[in-house]
Amino acid sequence: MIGVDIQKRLHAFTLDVQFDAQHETVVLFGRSGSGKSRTLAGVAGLMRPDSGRVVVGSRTVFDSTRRIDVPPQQRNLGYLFQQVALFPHLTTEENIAYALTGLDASARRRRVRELAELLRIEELGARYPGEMSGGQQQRVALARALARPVDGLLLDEPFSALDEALRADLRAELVRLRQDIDVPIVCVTHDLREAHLLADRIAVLEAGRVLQFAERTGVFHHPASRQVAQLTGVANVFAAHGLGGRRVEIEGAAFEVPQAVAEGVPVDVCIRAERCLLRRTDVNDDLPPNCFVADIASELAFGNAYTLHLQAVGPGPGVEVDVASRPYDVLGVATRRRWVVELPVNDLHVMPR
Amino acid sequence: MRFDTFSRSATVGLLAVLMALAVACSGGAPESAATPTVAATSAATAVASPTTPPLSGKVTVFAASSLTESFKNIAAAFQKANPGVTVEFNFAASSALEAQLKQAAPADVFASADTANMDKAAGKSLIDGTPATFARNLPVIVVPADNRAGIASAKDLSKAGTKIVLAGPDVPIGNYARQIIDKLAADPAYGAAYKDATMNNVVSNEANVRAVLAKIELGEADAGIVYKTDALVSGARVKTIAVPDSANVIAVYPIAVVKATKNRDAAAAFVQFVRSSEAQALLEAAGFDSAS
Amino acid sequence: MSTNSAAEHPRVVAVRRAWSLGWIFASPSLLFGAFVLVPLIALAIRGWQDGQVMERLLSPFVLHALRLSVVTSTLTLVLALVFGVPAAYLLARGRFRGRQLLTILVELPMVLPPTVAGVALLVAFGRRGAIGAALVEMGIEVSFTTTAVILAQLFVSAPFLVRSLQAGFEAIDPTYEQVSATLGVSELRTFLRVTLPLARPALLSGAVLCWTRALSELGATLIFAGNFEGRTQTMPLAIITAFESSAGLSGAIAISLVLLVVASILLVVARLAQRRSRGSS
Repeated sequence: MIGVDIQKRLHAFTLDVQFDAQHETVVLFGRSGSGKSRTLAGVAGLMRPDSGRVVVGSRTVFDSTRRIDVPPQQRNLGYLFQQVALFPHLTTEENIAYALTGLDASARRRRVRELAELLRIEELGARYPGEMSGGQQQRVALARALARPVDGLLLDEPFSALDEALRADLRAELVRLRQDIDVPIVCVTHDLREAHLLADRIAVLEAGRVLQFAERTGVFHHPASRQVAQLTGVANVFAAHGLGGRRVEIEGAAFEVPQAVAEGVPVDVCIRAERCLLRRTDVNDDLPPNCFVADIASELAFGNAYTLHLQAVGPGPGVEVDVASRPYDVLGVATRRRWVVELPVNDLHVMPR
Repeated sequence: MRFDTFSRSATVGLLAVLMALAVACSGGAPESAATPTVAATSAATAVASPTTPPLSGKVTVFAASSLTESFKNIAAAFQKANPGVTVEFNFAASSALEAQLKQAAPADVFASADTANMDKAAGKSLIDGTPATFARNLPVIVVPADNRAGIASAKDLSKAGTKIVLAGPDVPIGNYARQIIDKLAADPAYGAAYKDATMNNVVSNEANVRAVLAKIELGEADAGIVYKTDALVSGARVKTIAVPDSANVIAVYPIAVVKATKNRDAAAAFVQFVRSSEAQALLEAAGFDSAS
Repeated sequence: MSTNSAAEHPRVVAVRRAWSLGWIFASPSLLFGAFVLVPLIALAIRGWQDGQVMERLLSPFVLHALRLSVVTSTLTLVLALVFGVPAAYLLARGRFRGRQLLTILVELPMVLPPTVAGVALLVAFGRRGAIGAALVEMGIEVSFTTTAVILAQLFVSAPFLVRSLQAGFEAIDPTYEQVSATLGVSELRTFLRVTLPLARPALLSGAVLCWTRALSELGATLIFAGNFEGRTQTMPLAIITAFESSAGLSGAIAISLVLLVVASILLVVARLAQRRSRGSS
């Protein structure tokens, strides 16, 4: 396990981060400059926090009150740097074997072969970093980081320098490797989809603070605050007032929500764009709660999906709705302006304001 | 921003300082021209006869290092008598000067500290006419003022561990020194082993007599052989030990006009002036022995 | 990845663009090349023609000077490496007060005329010098010894090594050292396995500069070490001594030719070593 509780005064803000990682992948998610990479550096020992505690496995590697600061060499953590950083003067084999100083030559070769097979880079053994693509380099870097047994793996935006195709490829690789790597993984990223794909738990960082640290479904579907919701790409965040019971008022219209809200209490209510439903106005079945009529104000065509902005006709909010391309065609969205928007009760989430 | 303007003004300032230095340095008279510390002789009568036109131009004198102070004084007197002439010097070992003359270095007068180098120059047709002897000198042993090595006589030079500095074998004083050591070794009082023992103690062959003197003054060496005129120049900074008369050699200084001179009249006049009583007095004051 | 791809591709662009500039720069470059080559060629031709030169070429006088020069300049290089490599690294990576001052001090000998260095060394290490006197008490005499030659050479040539190496270290991305740390490798081993190999081009070119500067050192040696065949008379000193002696120009030419050949061979060897190292990284 990895346990982190560190503080450091930085130029733009003060870093104050707490989280832990058991036998799982924890993703530190946040915008550029939110302190995620600094945090990772602090865990690895490449940055010294002003105060706090870091625990790796059963060892305390940093404790400001007890003046413990184990140098990075002895923290036993694998680290994947953002800029790859393979040693340019060594071949792939030499790079991977770099950390294996304690082994004799044959044991070293065996281990290198194991890792090369694992990361599917067997044919790259004698090549130099300059002769390989970014994706290949990243695999070699991963092999190198895993060469010796470690108590944890730290990944600093490992795929950000790659193009989309390679990124997808390597993410899948990491998911596949998860079964073979049995240590806690802490991964830093600003890519939302990547965060969800890789994470068991997500810690959302902003300006050096952890705004929410929870299971990924929790962060995605039950953000702790408007700020977290916005950071995690929730398009619809409404200011609302409680109406007592499980009802709130949003822009003059009443909506049913999963949580009880006392009358008059100001809250934020959010729903992800892809969870909203569209119904045609000419369908006469009984409508479920939280339906209202709205007109399409604008539409963004992304090819695989469409993002629609609808404005309520009468009381009710403006809403952003994502419609995948088949439903878009089936519903005939292109031909109609007026729709019935449903905000399914269980997809609404109430947050304190 | 601030650094930019700072570095710019720093550069301008630096250039200004450098230019000022360049102007200041070039404004002065040529370095090697004599600065007067003239002996008081009156009657700075022109040596040239009344009917010849006044001398003008530059006279470049190649002179042995041991002549540095005395020749500068002589040049000052000469320039006073012949206001149109400037005398410039190149002081170095006579062997070095001869080598430069061989390479056609521009010179008007050559004053050597031995006849050997003058003869070499004459043999290569580098000088005009017959060289004339204008002074003599005597080699002496010098030791640092505090004489930590306790050198008392020529014999002590052969003491083991003594550091001796001589001029190179082709430099006149270096040659004279070796002749002296040979002569002493021939003397039964010193013995044949004297030569090897002494030469073993030589730690450096300097380029000219002044370099030898400098090492002695600094205390870097225990003993050296220079001219008695040099010892006088160093004054209290060195102690002099005489070379036994029987073994000493007399240094003969010849002077001649360089064949390729561009200012024959002034060059010849200078040579004549060096042999005149006025210049001879200056040489004697410096410790040189007279020419005859 | 991106760092090397830039190096692989500019050839195509560079060749096309250089043409017009190539013509403009050709004449001054050729002129300068001639300026350097012609005297050397004249030297070789004169030496070939002059019978005396061929005689003197391998005389003891020349061989002693040659051996002394090669031995002292090589020892100087070794000492420069021993002291210069750590110094260069500290100057490159260290963050301490006085770092700027130290950099200036290291560069000072390069700016000073060598004769100034000689005078300074004499004042410090001469028998009556500040440090020299203490050494004499301990029985160590520096003046007029080969040690003095090495000290003089070291003083003037070490800065070349340090400066080149310092620039080389500074150009290495500190990330590599961090990577090595996270892989469990100690700082010293990181230096030996990563930093130093990556700085090899700078190390080699700095070593060549240092060694050639040491080989050609004259002013400081003359003043500080004296002039004695086999002990302190290096090649440059021998050339001057020969020139001003009965051997004259012929003697000087002979020694100059030998030095020219030796220096050329060593430069070629150094170049080859540099090319090999560049090829492998």
